[in-house]
Amino acid sequence: MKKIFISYIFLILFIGCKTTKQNTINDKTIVMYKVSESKKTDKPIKFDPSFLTFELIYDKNESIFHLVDKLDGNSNNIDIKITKGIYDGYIKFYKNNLEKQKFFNVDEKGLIFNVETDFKNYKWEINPNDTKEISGFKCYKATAKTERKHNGKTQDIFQSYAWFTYEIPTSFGPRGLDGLPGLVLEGSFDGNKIFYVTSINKTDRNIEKPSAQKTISYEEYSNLKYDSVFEMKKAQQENAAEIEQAKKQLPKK
Amino acid sequence: MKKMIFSAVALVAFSFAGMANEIEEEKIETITLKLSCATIAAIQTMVASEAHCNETGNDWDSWTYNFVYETYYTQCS
Repeated sequence: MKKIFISYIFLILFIGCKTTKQNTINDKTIVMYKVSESKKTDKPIKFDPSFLTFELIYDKNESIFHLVDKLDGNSNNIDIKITKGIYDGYIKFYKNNLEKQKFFNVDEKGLIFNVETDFKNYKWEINPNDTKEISGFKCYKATAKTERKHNGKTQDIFQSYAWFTYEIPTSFGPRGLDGLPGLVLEGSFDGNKIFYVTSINKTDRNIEKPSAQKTISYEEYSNLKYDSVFEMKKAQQENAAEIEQAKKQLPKK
Repeated sequence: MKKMIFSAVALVAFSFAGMANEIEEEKIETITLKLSCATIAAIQTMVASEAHCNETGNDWDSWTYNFVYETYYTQCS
């Protein structure tokens, strides 16, 4: 009788431990971010991003980052649409460490793409002497140079940076700013639009891998985007006289 | 007689002044209708970009500029 009772206790403890371990493995975290623009003036911004909220949900292996879209009566307002677009509100960033997969999901002129990027697309340089505290965590600064190309030719160069903390050992971050030995609490892709943490909590929400109509490489996507840029410039050149005439009609400040 | 002539001249002068205003209003309306969506979008984007630069000290990168242009263009067409 005693042996049966002791075996029963061990069995319960074993099942309990296994369940706890599984819960730890599948523990998910939700990090909320806001975005701001680095400003050199005190003037209010027409396309003010302060109403935008983003969330990063991650577990041990994968993460998803995207805008928390509040569908309300203002969603069709042109200024709201533009503000969301400027601050990457229409893009979802996904990463999976097990499958070594990283991509962003974007609607480009009605077609939804998953744009695959290098798994380690940021060549981060960490400065151990550059630290600051963010939300009670000691953070270190990492910087990287990012280039955008059209047909192999560099068109734009950005100075990206990220403040990460070793105290939260995960390689994820906002807006695809990841690959560091700790959670990114603040960062910017272009040095101007700054994503910063507002809260960190546990969650049981699922990480939904975005689906798309087509998967393309970052190189193909970059070529597509610059093709649009050059088409726009060509249209402006063709309409130069009309644009100049219309500019004269604008009210003088 | 003098009073009649003076009244007639005054009447004609005021009539011409009234017609001039109507002609001017017609001209402004014609200019607005003739602009293409490409031009309207270009002007709106230019104004928005300059305002953003004045407010923040930052320029939009080419993809952002193009996104704003295409948003205005879609709204127009």
